[in-house]
Amino acid sequence: MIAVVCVDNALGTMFNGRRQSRDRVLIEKLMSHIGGARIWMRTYSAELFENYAVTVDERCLLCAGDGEYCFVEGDSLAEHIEKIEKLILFRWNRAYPADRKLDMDLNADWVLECSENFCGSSHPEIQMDVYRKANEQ
Amino acid sequence: MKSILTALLIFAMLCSGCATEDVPPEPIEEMQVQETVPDAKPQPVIETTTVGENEKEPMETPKAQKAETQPAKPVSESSAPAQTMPSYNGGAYKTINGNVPLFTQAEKAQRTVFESYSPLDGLGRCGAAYALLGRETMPTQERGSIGQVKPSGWHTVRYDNVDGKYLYNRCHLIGYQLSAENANTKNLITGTRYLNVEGMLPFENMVADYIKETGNHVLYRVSPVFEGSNLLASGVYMEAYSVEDGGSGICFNVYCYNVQPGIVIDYADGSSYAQQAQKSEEKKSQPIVPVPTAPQSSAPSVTESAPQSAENKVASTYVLNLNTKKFHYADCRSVKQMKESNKEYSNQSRDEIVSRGFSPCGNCHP
Repeated sequence: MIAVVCVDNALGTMFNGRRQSRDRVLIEKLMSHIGGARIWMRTYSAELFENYAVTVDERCLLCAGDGEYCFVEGDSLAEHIEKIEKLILFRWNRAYPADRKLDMDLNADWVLECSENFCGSSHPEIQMDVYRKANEQ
Repeated sequence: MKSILTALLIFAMLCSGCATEDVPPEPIEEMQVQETVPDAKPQPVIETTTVGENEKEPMETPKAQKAETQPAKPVSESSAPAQTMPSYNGGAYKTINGNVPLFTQAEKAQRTVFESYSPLDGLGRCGAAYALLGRETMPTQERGSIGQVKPSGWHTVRYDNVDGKYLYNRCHLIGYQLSAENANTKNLITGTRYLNVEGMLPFENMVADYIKETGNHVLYRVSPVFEGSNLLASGVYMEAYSVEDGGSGICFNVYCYNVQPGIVIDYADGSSYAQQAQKSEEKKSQPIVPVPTAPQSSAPSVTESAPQSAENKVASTYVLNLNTKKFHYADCRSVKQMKESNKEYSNQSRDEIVSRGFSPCGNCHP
């Protein structure tokens, strides 16, 4: 599974059960990146992907298989760390309030494979970082 | 026709639940009913623009050209009594009322943008700022100068351990990115850098992004809290609620603390001093404030640059007079006679201060 998460400057992901931010260019970027691969998500996230074919399931983290993507908002990744092959981190490069944070230690066992900056529709610069597990090629 | 549609809309809002099935359950409809206080004070001037329910206006019309099509409304005051403020525990903000804002159902049914700023009170202090924000209220040009405004409790004072050096910012109650309000004295308070950047800005960013991306509108209120006759606010309540989606996009109610890590503040008049310059015997007599510890954020912290070495702690007892170019020990009687605007609390060594052209005080002989 390739997990996809959006984070703020402090690796925050959600506040009061709601996403911190959204950007339609980010969605376009993600869907372009994954090509025709399958992407799973909860119902809550599906509103961001109105014009795309996505697979909606509240158990998306359990359902997503090898090589498949999972767009995650607010769920713990630590519980699924064993099945995560890669992590795509979209960094807003802004501060938002947060009561949930990315619960993965990116310094341990993860290698930054590539990084790219792009201009969003409401964010001047979004950073897309792709991490892979250190012991996988 | 428009009134019929509006009535239907209000009815639909009242009948429908706030949270959709898509979002985690929220006690949004179980909020306390907030009383809108009929205002005996002068009515604030309100700018309004009527928008359609699904209208998504591009940011083309300069805010100054907005038509005033609606009568003025009283500011809806939600400032809780000062004694109910949450005690400071190290974070820049604290959730209030389960993160549920205190807007009434009638307020949440509004679809006409407006901005409302309370008149200054007899001490020159701001009251609540209240608005229905949308793309229509957002700026279309760069922010202008606000340096001429001196909000209550204002001091121009610098510290080395404050991000950007200046302790106080002219702090918009409703941020410029949301309201396009420049030097509106009814919308500017004296706020610490920490309040401005760590406390309020993240919430403003979240609301601004939501409005830009969805074209929806957000009911928004910021209420400064002044205890007694203090000129400096202890903090601000921030409430927000996205009206078209029943709060599923934006819904919060928080209190942001007007504090600064490493700095002790007297809220009566806004005077301050560096925590390290305080002598132990003086601490007992100081009436002042909670001095926050470092925030739990991994974002750059204003306390990271605070001097930690023993040498720096000793050096920080110096107070420099920028007018006379003399420097003093912090407990020198001359310091008490200095204007706050002439003071600089230094973490430098004696030699460094002398090398900057300052000479030692003849009374305390630092």
